[in-house]
Amino acid sequence: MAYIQGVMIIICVNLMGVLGVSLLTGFTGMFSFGHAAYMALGAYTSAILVGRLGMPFVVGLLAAAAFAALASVIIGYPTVRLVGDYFAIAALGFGEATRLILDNGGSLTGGARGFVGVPKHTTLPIAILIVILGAILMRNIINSRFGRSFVAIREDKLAAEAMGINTARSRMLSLAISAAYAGVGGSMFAHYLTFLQPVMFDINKSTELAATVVFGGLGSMTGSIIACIILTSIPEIFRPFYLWRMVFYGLALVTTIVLRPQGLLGSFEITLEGTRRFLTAPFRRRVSAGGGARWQS
Amino acid sequence: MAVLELSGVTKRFGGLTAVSDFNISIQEGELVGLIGPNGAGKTTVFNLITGMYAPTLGSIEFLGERIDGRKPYEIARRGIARTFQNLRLFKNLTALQNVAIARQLECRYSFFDAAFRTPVFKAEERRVLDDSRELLELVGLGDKAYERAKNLPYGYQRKLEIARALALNPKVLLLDEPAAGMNPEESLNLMDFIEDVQEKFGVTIFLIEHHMEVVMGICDRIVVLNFGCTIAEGTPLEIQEHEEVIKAYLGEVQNDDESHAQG
Ligand SMILES: Nc1ncnc2c1ncn2[C@@H]1O[C@H](COP(=O)(O)OP(=O)(O)OP(=O)(O)O)[C@@H](O)[C@H]1O
Ligand SMILES: [Mg+2]
Repeated sequence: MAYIQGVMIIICVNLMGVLGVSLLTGFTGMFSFGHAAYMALGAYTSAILVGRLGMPFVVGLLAAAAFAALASVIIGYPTVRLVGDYFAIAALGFGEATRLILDNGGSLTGGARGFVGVPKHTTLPIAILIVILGAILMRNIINSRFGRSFVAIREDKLAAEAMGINTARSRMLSLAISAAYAGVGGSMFAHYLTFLQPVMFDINKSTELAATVVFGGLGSMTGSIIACIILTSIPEIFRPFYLWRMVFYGLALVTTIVLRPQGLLGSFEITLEGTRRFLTAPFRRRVSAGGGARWQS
Repeated sequence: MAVLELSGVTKRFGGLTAVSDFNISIQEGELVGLIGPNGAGKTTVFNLITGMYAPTLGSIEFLGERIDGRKPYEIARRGIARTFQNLRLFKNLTALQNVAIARQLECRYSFFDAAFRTPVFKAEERRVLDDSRELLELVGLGDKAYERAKNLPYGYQRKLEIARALALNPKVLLLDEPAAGMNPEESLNLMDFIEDVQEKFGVTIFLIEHHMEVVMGICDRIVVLNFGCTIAEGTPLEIQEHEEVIKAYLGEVQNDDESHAQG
């Protein structure tokens, strides 16, 4: 039972990271292979504030979000103007640099050997509560002028700019929100595991987050959520084949790209309204009823 | 006072002078045409006005203020909206979303309002969407609000792009070959539509066209570019009889097919 609870908590942790990356990649069109770094910053911030300085868990969570967002703004300022792949490469460099800094952080971070003695606060109900709250806030943001600006940039950056959108600033905002989500995920992770090591937040973790979002379908939050639940739990179910985990990711990704390039859900969202219509009108316009309503109004 | 005034505007790309010493002063409520053969520099003029390029020389004034060197989004916010020669709609979004993205510029609710769906947020969102729907209605796309832009017929996409530009509530509307890819009849319909838009919205329009005949009927004034230089300026009648213009266009007749394919 404790084991299943643990898996579910890890799903919640990953969900926070995935919600963030989904906003950035799926809705704003920016690829990042460094988001594990924001999780790491959140995890260590929270571990230090709560574990060393004795602050309450809530403060740790909020500070994790704030510090990750702040770091993303500092990193983002010179890099969000970079186009396409160059931003992804810069993000990757940042991710690795963060890991190295944590590796060499001395007594503050515990270095490569790790940070021990983080108080345990992340229980399953708390984790689920945070994720639900996070998902609702994310949906609200996407369904606002902010979300519409992000999507406009994804669709056509130049046209977005010509429609009065400050694209550099919008991209930065999207990056900051996504970093804050990853930071919260990191904090939850720290207070679940009670022990941190920089290697937990390496490029594999970043790739996992990005891969999950692609797998779920770019531009679909519900797709990202489903993908995260599947991709986090399957390696746990097949624990004996743990070493094959990355192979599984590769396979899942390649299979998606070949069979369903738009991802599990494409850009469709599963909504309450859509589900209701789907159930009440099963023989009429199935496809559009199933995913008719998107998260953006 | 002129709404838009370009003085001595020159744009060079390396060794190529795309626009050379371009001058124009557009008064409020005018409908001015900009014509010229392929590669004459017409689109470049629009890119200069909208801040996509900075002029190499010269100045651009909007309502008496210099705007050259400003960012495209700043210029759009001040009241200059444009369409693109090769359609740059937000393809995967619905017609309504396309218009709302431009329309939302006027809403000022905060990030906090959005995240927690405060009454301010709800009121402003409702207004944006209502205004957008009304605008679609006005341009005859009322029943297409929930269609994805890319699924609309070509002519409707052109109209949607104009609607999106109008959603910014601009003082000046720049239309880059809105009739490109249309047959003569569709083109003439579109020109009626543009006249209609000007009447309804009271905007000043600067219009690029490749084909002279199309603009003759609706423009107050026409400027002709060739190889970046202004070769003529005047009323449609004057332009029609202008020797250099006829020469520039006659020189083009041989490769007119090619230009069609490109448009
Ligand atoms: N970004 C750029 N870099 C280099 N050269 C450019 C650039 N933009 C335009 N040009 C060149 O400037 C010249 C004018 O181009 P422009 O697009 O303004 O022509 P146009 O009059 O709009 O032609 P068309 O009728 O084909 O649309 C062309 O020779 C073009 O190749
Ligand atoms: Mg052009």
